[in-house]
Amino acid sequence: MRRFLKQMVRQKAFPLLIILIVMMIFTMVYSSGVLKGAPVSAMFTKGFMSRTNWVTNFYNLVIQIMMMVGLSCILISGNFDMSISSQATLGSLIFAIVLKQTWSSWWSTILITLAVALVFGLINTFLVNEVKLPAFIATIGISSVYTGLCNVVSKGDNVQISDEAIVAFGQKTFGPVPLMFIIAIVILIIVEYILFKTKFGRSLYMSGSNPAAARLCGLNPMKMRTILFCVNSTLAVFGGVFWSCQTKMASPTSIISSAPNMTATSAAVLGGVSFFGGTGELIGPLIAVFLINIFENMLNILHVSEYYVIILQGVLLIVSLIIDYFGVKKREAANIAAAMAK
Amino acid sequence: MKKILKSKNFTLILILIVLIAVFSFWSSQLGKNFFATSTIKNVLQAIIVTGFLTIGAGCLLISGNMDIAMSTIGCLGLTVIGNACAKAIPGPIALLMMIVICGLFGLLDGWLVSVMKFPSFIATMGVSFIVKGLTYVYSQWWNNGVATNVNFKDAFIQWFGKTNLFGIPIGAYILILFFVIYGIMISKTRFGMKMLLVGGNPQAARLAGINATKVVITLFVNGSILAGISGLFQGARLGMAGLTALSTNQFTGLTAAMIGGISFGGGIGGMGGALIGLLILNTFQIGMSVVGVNPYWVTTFSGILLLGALSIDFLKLRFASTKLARKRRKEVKEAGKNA
Repeated sequence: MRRFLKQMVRQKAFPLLIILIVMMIFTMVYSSGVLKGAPVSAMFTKGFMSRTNWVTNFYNLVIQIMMMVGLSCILISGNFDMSISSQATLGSLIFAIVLKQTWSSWWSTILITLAVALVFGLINTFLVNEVKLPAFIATIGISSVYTGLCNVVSKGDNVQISDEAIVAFGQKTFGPVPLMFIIAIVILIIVEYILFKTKFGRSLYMSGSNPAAARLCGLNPMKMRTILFCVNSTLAVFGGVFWSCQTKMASPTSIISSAPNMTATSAAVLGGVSFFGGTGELIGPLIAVFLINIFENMLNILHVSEYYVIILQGVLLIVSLIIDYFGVKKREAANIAAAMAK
Repeated sequence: MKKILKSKNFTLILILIVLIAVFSFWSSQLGKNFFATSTIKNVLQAIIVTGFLTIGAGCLLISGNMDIAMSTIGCLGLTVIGNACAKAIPGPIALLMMIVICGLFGLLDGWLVSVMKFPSFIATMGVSFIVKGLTYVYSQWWNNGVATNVNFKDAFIQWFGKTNLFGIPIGAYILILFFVIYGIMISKTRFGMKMLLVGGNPQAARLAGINATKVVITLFVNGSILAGISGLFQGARLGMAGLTALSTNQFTGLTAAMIGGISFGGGIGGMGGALIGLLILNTFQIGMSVVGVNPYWVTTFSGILLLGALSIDFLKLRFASTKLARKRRKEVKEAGKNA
């Protein structure tokens, strides 16, 4: 038990977890009105902890978690993808449009969307593998292509989703937890398992931290990239589909303007995924996604002006980076001390 | 001569000429004039605003960094100038305020990236959030608690936007001057060499005794001030400081610099290429609007243009390697004949 605790404290995401818990307790107490004489039990039913608040929170988290999972894997293997928001938008629009046709049923629509997602992944792979562009700038270009196409296929309008099965799926909740959130978490656990326990997962870390050595060991970086970009696009597109299932329409602008890919990127980096590849896992980023959302939620509950909310988001990002910086320094110092003792 | 033909800038100029030819032919088919003065004016205005961003982003890219906060810093700079002028503070002082404030944020960026060693993408993203929020808050401070767009009139500031010399806005001359100065700085001076080395091979730069921290911070401050200047030109023409000015230009500077052959990894490229990249990007966008392509498609096509321009190197390499292979095959054949 003590060893487990020690390990936990050493985790990169541990400071984030502490910040998150402190923030949640503070918001719980403040928003329930306990300070103004409400009974203590109100803390768990009113304000921040109320069911409606958490349902909204969970729904917001779904797409971010899906994107974060894909993006973390991409970052660990030393690549990057800027285009996931526009992929999600275009994918969800295609999903909604196909769903509207008379010949389609919900399952054929899902199959078509999956095929589209794989095509997105393969296009990215082609640009990075075959044309040898840097992933960052290639995906900026691709995202501009998709953003344009979003407006072309939808003619600038929202596309309604009225299929009963899909709408029921979007609204299904267990207690305050939506079904799609559970799916996202299950995906996260599966990917975490793959990262830690399978040969493929371990080889990602190798090719991320030292591509040359990985190639000499007989790993095929091109094949790896193909799989990763396809998985990433699939997760992003279905994140977008989930988003539009919940809002009952696919919009050409809403996902791009709320920029879940930026949240996902910063969450991944805050949670300990290195931007240069080679290190990271998914629990830290998951905590970071929660942290970013709950922080915003807290500021809204405290009635902070929206302008300060934007500023504080930036401050949060930088402060977490700085905390991480001191964490790394401390660990380095500890390692040196241990080496000296030997 | 062969060297010129093989250089990247030559290919880029060819692309630019082809683009202009295509658009002028296309618009003449539709009965419009691509070279109408209004078109040229539009192109120039767009180029002036994004040009300063391109210089800043290009210098940073050469040193192996990038700053995605530039467009928001430019917007803050414009807000600072606009609000100061609206309160009848003289123009030069407003300009000075802008330079100081933008420079401070550049300093913050540079400190985070070079001293704290954070990845520049994430660090500048954080800064861009802070700056975006501060723009609104700053506007609130100056306008009795309401964040609004501000109209201003100031002879000094508006001189930048309204003066024409030989029918061309003064901003264009200033931009060209900046491009020349920065181009000379990068290719001829000691500081430029340091930039290239820091970007191309940080290890070697350190061993050569270059203070990379100083170079990177200087470039970030420089980039932020240039962003402020681009904000100045955005607002000076209309005399309005918008709160969302430059918001569509987050990646424009970066894109133009990369089309112009400045490598993403740092260490390669110059201002000449960046200028041509800028011209290509803007000609393309304005050309599309003159021809009357559906604006939704314009975004798509500019993405394709970016990817296409970036693939030039790849295509060249591919071409060269097939040529080499053919030559070698011929040699082997001849060797076989001789034996």
